[in-house]
Amino acid sequence: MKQMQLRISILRLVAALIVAVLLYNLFQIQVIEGEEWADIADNNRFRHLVQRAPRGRIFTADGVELASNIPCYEVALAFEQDPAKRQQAIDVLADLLGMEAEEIQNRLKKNHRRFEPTVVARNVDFATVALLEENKHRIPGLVVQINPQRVYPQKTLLAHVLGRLIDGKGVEGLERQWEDYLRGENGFSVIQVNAANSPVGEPVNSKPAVPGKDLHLTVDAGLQQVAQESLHRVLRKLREERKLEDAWTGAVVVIDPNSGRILAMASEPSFDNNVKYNYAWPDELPQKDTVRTYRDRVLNWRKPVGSTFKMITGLAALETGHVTATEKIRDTGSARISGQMVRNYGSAAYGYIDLPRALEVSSNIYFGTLGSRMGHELIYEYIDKFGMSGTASGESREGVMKNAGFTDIALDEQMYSLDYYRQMMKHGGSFYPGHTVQMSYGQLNEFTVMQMANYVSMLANGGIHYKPYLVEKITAADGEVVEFFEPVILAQHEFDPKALDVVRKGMRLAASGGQFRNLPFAVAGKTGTSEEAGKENHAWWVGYAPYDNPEIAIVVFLEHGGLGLRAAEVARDIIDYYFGLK
Amino acid sequence: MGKKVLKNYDFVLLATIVAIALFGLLLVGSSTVSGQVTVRGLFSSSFFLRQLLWIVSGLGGMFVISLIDYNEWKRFALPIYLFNLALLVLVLFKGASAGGAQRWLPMGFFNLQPSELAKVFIIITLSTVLAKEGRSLDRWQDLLLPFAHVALPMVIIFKQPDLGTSLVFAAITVSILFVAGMRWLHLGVLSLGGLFFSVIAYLFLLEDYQKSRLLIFRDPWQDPTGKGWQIIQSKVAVGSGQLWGRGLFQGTQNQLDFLPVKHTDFIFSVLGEELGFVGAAIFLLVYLFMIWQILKVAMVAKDNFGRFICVGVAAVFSFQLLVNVGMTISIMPVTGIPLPLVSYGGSSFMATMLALGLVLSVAAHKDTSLF
Repeated sequence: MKQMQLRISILRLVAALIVAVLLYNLFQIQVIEGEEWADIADNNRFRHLVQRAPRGRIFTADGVELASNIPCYEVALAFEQDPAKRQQAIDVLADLLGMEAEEIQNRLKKNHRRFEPTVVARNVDFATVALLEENKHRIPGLVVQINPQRVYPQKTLLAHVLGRLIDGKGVEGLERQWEDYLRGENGFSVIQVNAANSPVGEPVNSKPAVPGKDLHLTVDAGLQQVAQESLHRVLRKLREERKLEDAWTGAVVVIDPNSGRILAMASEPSFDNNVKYNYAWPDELPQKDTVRTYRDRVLNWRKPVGSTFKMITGLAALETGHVTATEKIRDTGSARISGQMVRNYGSAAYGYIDLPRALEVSSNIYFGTLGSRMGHELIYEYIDKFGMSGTASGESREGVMKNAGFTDIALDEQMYSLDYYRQMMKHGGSFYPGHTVQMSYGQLNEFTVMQMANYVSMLANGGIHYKPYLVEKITAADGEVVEFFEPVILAQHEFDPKALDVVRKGMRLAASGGQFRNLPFAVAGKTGTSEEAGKENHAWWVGYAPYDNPEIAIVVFLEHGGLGLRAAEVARDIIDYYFGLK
Repeated sequence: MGKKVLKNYDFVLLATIVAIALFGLLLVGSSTVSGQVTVRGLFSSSFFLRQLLWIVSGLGGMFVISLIDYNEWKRFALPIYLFNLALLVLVLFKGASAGGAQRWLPMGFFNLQPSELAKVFIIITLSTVLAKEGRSLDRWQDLLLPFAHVALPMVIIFKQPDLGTSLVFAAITVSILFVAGMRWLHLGVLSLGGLFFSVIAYLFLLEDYQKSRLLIFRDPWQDPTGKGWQIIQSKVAVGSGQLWGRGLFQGTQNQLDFLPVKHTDFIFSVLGEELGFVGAAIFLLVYLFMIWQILKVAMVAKDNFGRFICVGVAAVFSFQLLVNVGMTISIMPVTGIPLPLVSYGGSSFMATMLALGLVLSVAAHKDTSLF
């Protein structure tokens, strides 16, 4: 009897031990690990769905849509706890979308927000979406969302400037620099689902998407079209008629000298922005360096500018008294100046000439002489005044970065001028007075097309350095103007009006014949031919019109285009269109 | 009977039983009504209504049985034993199957699960055998008859196959033999033998589905949507209850159907999710109190027959508590054993009531002169 009592007591202890073991484990799971399990329970029941905000559009000044959105399907996978189910979904999706399973796997791994479905493929067409829906039961966690897709309806128009997106984010051009405005805010809805993955009840939480803001540019679509077409046509003509095999690339900028508004900016060769990185490569193009060839020649390129530089040399010499408006210098066609052999084009001799005449005939002897009188420091001072200073490393002479002042595209997508003197000093090279002479008629130093546009504008407006700009207005989806950009003056130089007049007179003379005959108004201009060792020369034309009351400043650059005056044809096309002359 | 029975009646045990059963009813309601739970909503759940019916009729039956002197059952030991075997054999041939096993006899308005009743029957008949005057358990051969007695129905249940219930039989047998005076040496040898047999049985007797079901609880992630699904979701439910629980009727694992068979085998997961560690701990302590109370009755029983019955019933409760709750938190394999008094199900509940009726009868008919 006693023994039985004892043994029953032992059974009681066994029962107590069982409860103790259970309590210990429950404490472990519920109290110590409780939060983790609660997270998993939430993962079970919540789906976070993203509502993509349509990206802001981009318009020209005259309302032509350059960048727009079309609805497109986006295939995503919601997080699935079960590895086997997950793998099945991946395999079936890979099969139906024609993707590698590994790629989908990687995308899933990269998503650290498990509540949100991972985007597997964008731009999925309707037929494929229909196919996926049919196979929905084999793809646990499949989410098909509408994702507005970027399109560029005008294809090649302003293609270099608009830039591009990667995974919906701007990585180049305007798309990158104005990302914060264009992006908009994605909305979301959090829904509760049950074990069968069906939504239960109303969304727990939701926020509608806020569409991105629209950019309105200063560019005129018609003028831009003319600039691109003319540039393309002239380069083709040079290749076909003049046998200039390397004449594939070039650039044009048209800018309002009284505000800095960019009216057109073109670069050749152009491309369809919708298929940018699947370039249809022109068969006849000899070199296959895609990136280099398609690089924007307006902002992201620099070359010596040849005789188009001579206005700087002239203005500097007049203002500092190194020459007077009436002084005539003897031009013998070729001469040794400061040890540098200088020749005019064709070694033509012009006799005794003053400054306007020297600009008209583009005398290297005249401007080489002015250069040797002034020295390089003075020339660089004037380069700086025109906002064109810089060094090989991109630093300005005062240690401040300077370029054309254009900031509508990220600075690292733009080039700075090359300061030949600083570069020589930096790399331990030698700099002789002869270099100064070459510099004074536009060799050695290199500038961007945008910087040249600034410089011509300043000649036209008397010395005001307007910040060149492309984005004029930002509007919200409802049309409300969020930002409006007024012209900005970066610097104002009081050039001596008399000296400026002399230079302008030379420019008028230089643009009086050839392409600029039969115009109802006078035009100021200057051709330039710059050299590149071992290659065909570059052709430049800079100028503004009308001469008396400048409305537009133009820079044309034909890389390996041979002779400067060939660039004038493009300028004439632009003037004709802008002033409605054709 | 009469005055003495009422005077000795264990009202504390009775109250505990009623409390646990009503608490279980609430959990059955929570696991079968979805959306906003209201009183009307509860009564629209057929599971809730049926369980209520089992509780009302079961408690009535229990009370009646508790008033009858349990010694009356001794006389019917042999018919009970044969009836038990007959039912178990019948289910082998006529039973309805579910999940690869034949366990139920369709009885019109409900399905009878003879293996549930078999537990109570075997407690009665084994206790009868061991309570015979002058029986000794000192020698090895003394164990043969009790073992044979249990082995016959146990093998049939194992063949259904219902591994869990056959293990409950083992727990009943060992507990009663232990209290009846089995030698420690024999217990030790048998335990080792049992362990050895388990390994052999696992390797050669179990079907593949039983094997994988047995071991999946160690690593449910190897088949998280198939065999591991209920284990994972149950652990998620219990764990997410944290200290205070999500609130009665508020468990998302429960309400959104992530929990499988939550009103029967996994009812404890609902408890853990909705009432948290605090709720679970209180429940387990009350349950332990009930087992202790049953074993207290065993101590004060007037004879060995009554004592063995109580020990057998306590063994069923303890073993099933361990296996059922352990299963919901992945420390025990999934064997399809319900939580007595709490899980939804007529057979289990009625059998439990019958067993508790016997215990209350033992308490009511104890020999007070001893104390």
